[in-house]
Amino acid sequence: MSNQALWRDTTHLCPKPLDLAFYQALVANQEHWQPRSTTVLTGFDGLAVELAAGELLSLQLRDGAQIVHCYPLNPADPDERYWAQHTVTTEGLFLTRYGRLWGSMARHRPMLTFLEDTVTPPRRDGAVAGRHHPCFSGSSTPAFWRAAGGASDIPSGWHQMAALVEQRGWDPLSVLDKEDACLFQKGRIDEYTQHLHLLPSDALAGDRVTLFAEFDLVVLLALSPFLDGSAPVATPRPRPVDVTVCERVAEPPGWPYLNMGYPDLDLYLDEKGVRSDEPVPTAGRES
Amino acid sequence: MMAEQAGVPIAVPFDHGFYEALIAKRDDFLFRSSHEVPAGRGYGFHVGAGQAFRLIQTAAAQIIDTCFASADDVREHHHSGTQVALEGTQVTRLTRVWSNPPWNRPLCTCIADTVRPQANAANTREHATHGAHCNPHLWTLYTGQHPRSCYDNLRAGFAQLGYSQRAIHDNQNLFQNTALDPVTSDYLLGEGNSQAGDYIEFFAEVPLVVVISICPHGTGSIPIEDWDEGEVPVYPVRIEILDTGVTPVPWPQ
Repeated sequence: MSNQALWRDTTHLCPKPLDLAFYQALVANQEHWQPRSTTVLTGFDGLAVELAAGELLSLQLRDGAQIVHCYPLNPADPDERYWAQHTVTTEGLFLTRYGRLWGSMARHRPMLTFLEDTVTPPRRDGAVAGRHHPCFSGSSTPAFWRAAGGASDIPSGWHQMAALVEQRGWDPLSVLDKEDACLFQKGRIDEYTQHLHLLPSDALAGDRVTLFAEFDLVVLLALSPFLDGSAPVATPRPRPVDVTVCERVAEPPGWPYLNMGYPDLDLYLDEKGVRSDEPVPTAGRES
Repeated sequence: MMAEQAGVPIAVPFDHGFYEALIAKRDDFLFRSSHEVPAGRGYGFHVGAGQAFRLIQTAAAQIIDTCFASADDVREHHHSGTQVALEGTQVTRLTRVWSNPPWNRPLCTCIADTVRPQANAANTREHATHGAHCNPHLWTLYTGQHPRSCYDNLRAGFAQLGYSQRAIHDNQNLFQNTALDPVTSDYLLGEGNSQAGDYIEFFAEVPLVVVISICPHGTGSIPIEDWDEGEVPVYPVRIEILDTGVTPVPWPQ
């Protein structure tokens, strides 16, 4: 298949090719997905899920809407982490089936691809306009939790993930400096002010998202103390979420695709294969 | 500036009177330095707490990808998530620029913005907070070429100050005319409205490292799929640093 045939019909600012047939085949084969583990995420202490390339991660709501913050990393090089800013330019602000979470420089490749999203479109009659699963919303930050009046003894989504990062011996100030995807969260973009208004989620018990791992990952998950996105309550009680990993369903197609333009990563990576920490400009592109 | 959660307005402390007084003093700010950044290049500079800095369009509309970091620890830097949650997706006068957790505080505050956007159906306006930077991946994907991308320019600008590419973080897209489509949520790009002489000015709340890239995408008016069909016009910009004589209000307030 030529590179050109993989371009989606999209109005996104920075479209990237997608082998849609590959992912559609995975979805068509859904009855053969084999769970290898299920963990019930119930508290505000987060969960780090190890995913091998080609495995699936499913998040299913048990008792109703619950926002789950999601931040994938490369465990072999945590400098490679979810890049929400660029995901917005490629996928739009809200994610759904066949949308992808993109990783940071220098490799800048897809990390996870949505195969299932039972929330979108919302099914509740009369629901306020809006969509689910923003690439980022900022609602996991301590600043927003505090500003909304959240209790100081309840950890924000960021604090939950920071504890998981520290357990692995990584520096949360470096690794967790970007934004997380906010699964099951609902938001609405105001046409004129361009503010993102966060709304109670339309998700219901049983709703699920499933993501395909494009390479080996650690995915940090944290339940939002905003629960379904309503205003904070004094003692929020998180709604449980089933976190299921399914055995490898396919060899990921890899990135870049055949005959696709791709930069020379030697300009950015050192001899260990990680981003160089030398304070030098890119060779041949000095200012 | 008012965020909203589930229909409940969220008010972040903001001393309106302080900034009104500061803006009223702008004619008295003392000029300290000026630097012209050539078209298509990167540049890094320091700004002291209480100083102001101005990014000026010298020839025509030109996108400036801008990184804001704390000079005390560059791991503290602009954070689009906090920014969008507390201030929205665009920057103009009296918008604060927020840092990442756990600091989560204002790094600087916009005190002037002379761009006057033209009304348009998509409601695009200047100065986006969340559009990332062009990088060698985009250029090689769309054109097969690798010019000085914004990533390379930002890397060069940080290197000028002794920092590596790992200090590059989520930037703002100043003078880029954008909106998010309220239905599709697509990131829309419009024609830049700024003109020669237009500027945006920030008051530094803390000592800052600021690194800019003059985007090789120019004003953003050429669709990305046409980047390889000729020269994209790119223009220089000027940076001015001024002493305000005003001490920032400590955070938290």
